[in-house]
Amino acid sequence: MNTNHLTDENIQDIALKNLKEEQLPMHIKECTECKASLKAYQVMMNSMNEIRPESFSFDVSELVMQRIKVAEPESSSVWVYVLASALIIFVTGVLLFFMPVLKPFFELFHSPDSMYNLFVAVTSLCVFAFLMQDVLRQYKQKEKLLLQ
Amino acid sequence: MNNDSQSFSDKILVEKVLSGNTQAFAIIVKQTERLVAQIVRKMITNEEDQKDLVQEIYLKVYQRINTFRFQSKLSTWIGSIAYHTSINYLEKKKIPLYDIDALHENTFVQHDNAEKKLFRNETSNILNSEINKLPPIYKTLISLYHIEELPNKEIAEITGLPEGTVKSYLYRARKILKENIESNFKDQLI
Ligand SMILES: [Zn+2]
Repeated sequence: MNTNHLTDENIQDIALKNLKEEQLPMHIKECTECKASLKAYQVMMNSMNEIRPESFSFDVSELVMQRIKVAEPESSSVWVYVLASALIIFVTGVLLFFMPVLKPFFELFHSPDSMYNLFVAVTSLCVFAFLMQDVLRQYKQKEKLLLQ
Repeated sequence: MNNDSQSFSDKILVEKVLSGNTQAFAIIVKQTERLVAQIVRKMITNEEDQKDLVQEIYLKVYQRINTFRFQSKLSTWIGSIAYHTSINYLEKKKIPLYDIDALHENTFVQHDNAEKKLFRNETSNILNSEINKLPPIYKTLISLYHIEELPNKEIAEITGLPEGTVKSYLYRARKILKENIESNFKDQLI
């Protein structure tokens, strides 16, 4: 009989391969020591399959998504404020600068009818709000891309 | 899922996240939660610390997803972030990562009797508790290989260790586990 025992690594490899009895190396079949070691590894590796995988005791998705959503508006809200103030300053500046030119234009709408004035004001506000909403939506998308 | 369809679904998810779809990120979290648990829970036992780490890991993923180049599976990349974030945490706490002898002797004596009573004749429970006594890196490798059933190559990508090192750490860990289980059973028979 060959008295050179298999190395522990060899025995582990054989156990990992899950070989059938007839496929085992001759030495294992003849050597009680190596055979016992192989058996122990086989039992151990089979038991590994019964171990339940780890899982967290808390809701990972909830925890993580909360954190992601908290991190998001912080950065975007700052930019929204910056953008809004810049826009207000710009519009006021333009209005003041072009006031002499725009005066006759505004006088056109100076109707004594207050309902007519209200209608003009509401319509322009609605158009402005829709345009702003669209600008902001596009801006947010681009900002998200930039921040990532 | 085969490799091609896996990488295709990774691509779609990453593109959606990059275009601002947080629901896509929620799907990524769901898909990788188990692997992250396998790594974080094997390395860190304190639940509050686990919560902090999980948030840190996924925040890193979210912030760095634009740097992901699809050279590995998305889950492998996230596993790697989880692994390195956990290692950093252990290093900060000065917890030994590899010290197999010191750790094994101490813990074995401390918990042996109590566990023996609880898990008598339950090999897989004894095995699990023995795995948990291994140093952090060894128990993580064992659980990634045997419980997550990842190939050595993927474990090497997650840990950043050479494939040969992963293999030899696994040999060492299994040998220690086998010896400890044998001595556990021997003690029970006496
Ligand atoms: Zn032999």
